[in-house]
Amino acid sequence: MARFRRDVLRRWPDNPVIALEDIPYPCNTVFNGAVTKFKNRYIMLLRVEDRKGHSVVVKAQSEDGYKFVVEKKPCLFPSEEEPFKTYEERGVEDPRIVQVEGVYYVMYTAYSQYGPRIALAKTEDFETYERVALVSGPGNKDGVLFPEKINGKYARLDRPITNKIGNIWVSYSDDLMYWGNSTMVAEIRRDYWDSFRIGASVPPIKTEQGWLEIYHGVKMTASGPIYRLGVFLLALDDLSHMLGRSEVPILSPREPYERIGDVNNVVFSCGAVVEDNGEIKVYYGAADTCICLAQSTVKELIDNCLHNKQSF
Amino acid sequence: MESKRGRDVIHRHEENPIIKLEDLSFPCLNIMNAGAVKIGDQYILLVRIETMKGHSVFIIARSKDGRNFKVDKEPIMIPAEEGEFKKFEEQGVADARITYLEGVYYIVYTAVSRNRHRLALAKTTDFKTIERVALISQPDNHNGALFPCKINGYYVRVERPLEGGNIWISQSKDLIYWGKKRVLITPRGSGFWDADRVGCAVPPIEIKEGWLLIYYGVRKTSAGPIFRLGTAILDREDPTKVIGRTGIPILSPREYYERVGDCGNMIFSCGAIVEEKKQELLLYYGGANMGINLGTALIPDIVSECLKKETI
Repeated sequence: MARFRRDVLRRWPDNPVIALEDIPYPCNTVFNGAVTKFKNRYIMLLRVEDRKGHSVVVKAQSEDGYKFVVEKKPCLFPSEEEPFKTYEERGVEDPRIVQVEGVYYVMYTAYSQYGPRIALAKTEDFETYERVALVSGPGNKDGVLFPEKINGKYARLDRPITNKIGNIWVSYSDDLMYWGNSTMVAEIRRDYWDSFRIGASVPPIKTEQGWLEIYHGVKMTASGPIYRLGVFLLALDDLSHMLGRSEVPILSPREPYERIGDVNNVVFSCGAVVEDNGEIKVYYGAADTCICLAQSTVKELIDNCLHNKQSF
Repeated sequence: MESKRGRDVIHRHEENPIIKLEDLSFPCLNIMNAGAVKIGDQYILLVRIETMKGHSVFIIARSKDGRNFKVDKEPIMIPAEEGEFKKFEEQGVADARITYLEGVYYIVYTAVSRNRHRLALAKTTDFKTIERVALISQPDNHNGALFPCKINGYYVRVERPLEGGNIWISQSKDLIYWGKKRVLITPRGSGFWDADRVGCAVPPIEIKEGWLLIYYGVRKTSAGPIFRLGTAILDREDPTKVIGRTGIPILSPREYYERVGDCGNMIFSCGAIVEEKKQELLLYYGGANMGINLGTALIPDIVSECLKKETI
């Protein structure tokens, strides 16, 4: 009999799915993979930090979602062309893939001396990528696009940093270039596991009950931050309406590969795949050093959003 | 007549401060940072005052000569009492910058709430009633100002996201949705008067050479920050290009009313009026957050300071 199950997500027993040894060239770390199903294969865009300390994005592919083959060179790396060059000089980080109107969009963090900001690229084949725009100001990360327009507008969640605190905001656009009508959708909770910062992790998943968002929450401790994953549900036609939010995390760092690495005590997701049978594979970076997998069902995650009271 | 010290490009008015706390018909904590506009032969200041509670509101001061002002009996704009604006203005409205654009006076101001500062837009045609338009930035963004015309078909604004302390420039088709953000002016780093942070002060003024941008620069010291004013000239057709910048401040705190107050060593401006015939700049500025002051200079003198190659 297994130990008492502490987390909603079930870890894959052969974690990590992708470790440093799986990258076919020398680099510092691999973490935070975006994932989607494309032509019956799992495509993962990995964040790989090179030995200099700058991040690039590398593609990996899998037949079954468990065993991935990583390509030999990056597919997205700091641009040589302005205006992207100026704002990506220190790397491209934390991609998130969303299919909108038949096009795969990759929202990522452009990092430079001017601070992190959100950028958007697109691809139709995961072979060539075209940059669309820099879509936020500085001090903003964790941008995720919704997979369809909401009330006629493109929408994204993001995480502007204010006074070191981070909440989740939504913004809207007609053209993916010009953004506005920003407002806050989810706030940190004092004295909770997500009391310091929260940010969108997995791009919103459409369900009958609402938009399911798997987010990350950070608690600051005397020995550094702890990154965990949680869930909330937003109304399908009104993103400012929070239908429910889990009181408890769905995944917390416990295993050695989550506890120990370049950044200890981190589980951080950039993507998940929902299977036809309702199962969900959540891929997450562990300790900023490898990529792991944990699984659940969409139904179970929604239940955690709606029936979330921890009685003790 | 020249100020007795004569160290600054801007000449101080002999009777500074021209508006003091005592000129208000009710008690207040602070008075500072006025937007300025001339309509016909009337000079109008949209003055930020801080109520006894500590929240900022706007009150109008009017003058026939630009020097002797009469303050209205009560504020013209207080935090909104409903909707999104209420949520994001609960702690005040601050730092109005007025731009006459397409026949309307637009006011970019800072909405202050527990979610920090963000830019908001309002408009008026008569300065009797002010109508809110939209919240136009994400949080931790200050010092927004519109250009007085469209440039290459787009509305343009400058702004100062807190992250990095740089002045940015962005554009919009409709004043609501904004994009194409670029860094415009950066702090010059240690050893300079504008070492640590810069931000737009006066909305861009059209001059023969392009756009004159009067900005403030902050240098942190062990006893707190020093706020001074400097200027830059932007290319007329492409205002993302800086074609000149003063090596020295045009105005630094020296007088008692600039040195001593709730925020000592602070000169901060949100508005100026240009007397076209004389090419004279009437610069209205807050001193130590305790009064509104007037400084004057000829535009050509400021421009030549901006275009100097070296300054000692």
